[in-house]
Amino acid sequence: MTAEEYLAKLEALMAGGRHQEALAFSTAASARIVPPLTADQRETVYSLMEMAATLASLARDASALPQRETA
Amino acid sequence: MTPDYPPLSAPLQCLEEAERLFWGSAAERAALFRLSAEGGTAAILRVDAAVVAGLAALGLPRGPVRGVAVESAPGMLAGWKDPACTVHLSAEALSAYLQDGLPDAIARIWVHESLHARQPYAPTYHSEYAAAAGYEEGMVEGLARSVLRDHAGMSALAGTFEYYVTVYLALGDVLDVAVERLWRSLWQAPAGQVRARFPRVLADLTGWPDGRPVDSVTLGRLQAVADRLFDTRRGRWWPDPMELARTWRLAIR
Repeated sequence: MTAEEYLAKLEALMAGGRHQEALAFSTAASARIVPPLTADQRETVYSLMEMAATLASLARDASALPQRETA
Repeated sequence: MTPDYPPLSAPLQCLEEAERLFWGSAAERAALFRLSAEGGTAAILRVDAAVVAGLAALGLPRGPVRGVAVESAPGMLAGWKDPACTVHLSAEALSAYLQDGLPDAIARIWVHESLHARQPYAPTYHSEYAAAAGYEEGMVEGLARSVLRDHAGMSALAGTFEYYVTVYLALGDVLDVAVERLWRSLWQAPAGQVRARFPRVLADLTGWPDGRPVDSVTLGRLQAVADRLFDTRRGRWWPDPMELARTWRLAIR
C-alpha cells in the first residue's frame, strides 16, 4: 500500500464518520506502507488520528449518556 | 550559582531549578524524553511537572487532569486528551520523534495536549469538534509552537494541524493582529466554546483604521469563513497561505 492510498483510505473513513474504524485501520495498515511515510505525511496522519480518537471517544460518551441518566 | 539559560523568557527564568533545567537544556529534555518513551515513571512525572509549571508561568495554566499516560498506541496516534481528562501520549510516537532527531517535537505534543486540558470540556464540545475541529486544534497547536519557540528557543518542533495553524496566521496578518494575542484570547474559552468566543475576540482585538469597532455584519462574515476553513474535514489539507489570506480579505471588505 502506498502512502497516498493509506491517507486516502483514512480520509474516507474520517469523512464517513467511521472514526473507530479509522483508528483500527491506522494501526493495522501503518506497517504495510511502502515506502514508509515521510515525516510530513506522518504529522498529517497524527493530526487525523488525534481527531479520530477524540471523535470516537466523544461518540462513546454520547451513546453511554442515556444509560447514565436512567441508572 | 544558578545556571542561566539564555533562550528562556523572563517568566521561565523564574521557575524552580529542575523545571528551568527542562525548559532551558535540550540535552536534559532529550534524556528525559528517552526515559519517558521507555515508560520511566519518574521521568514522565518530571517532564509533566516542568510542563505544568512552565505553562502556569506563561499564563496558560493546565486545568485538573486525571494523569498523563505514556502508553503503547500502535498505529498513528501521537497524543490526545480524552473527555474524562487523561492526557495520552504514544510511546511509539515518542520513539519515532527521537529516531528522527526531533526530541522537542515531544515537548510540542506534551504542551499541545496540556493546552487542550485548560478546563473541562464544555457540553458543546462534541458538536463543535465534529463540525469544525480547527478552531480548537489550530489554536492549541499554534499556541504550543509559539510557547516553545518564542519563550524557550526551541526550533525543531515539526507540527500537526498545519492547515488550521496557517488559517490563524493568515487571519492575524490580514487583521494586523499578533496571532498569539488571538490564540491566548481564544484559549480562555473551554474546549467546545472556542467557536462561540471567536467573534467576540475579533471584536475586542480589531477595529477599522478610523477607530470604529468592527460591525456585526463583518463579524458574521468572518465567522462564516472560519466555519468553512476550520471544517473538521480539512484536517489533512495542506495550506496555501496566499490563498487563505485572500479568503480572509474577502470577508472584511
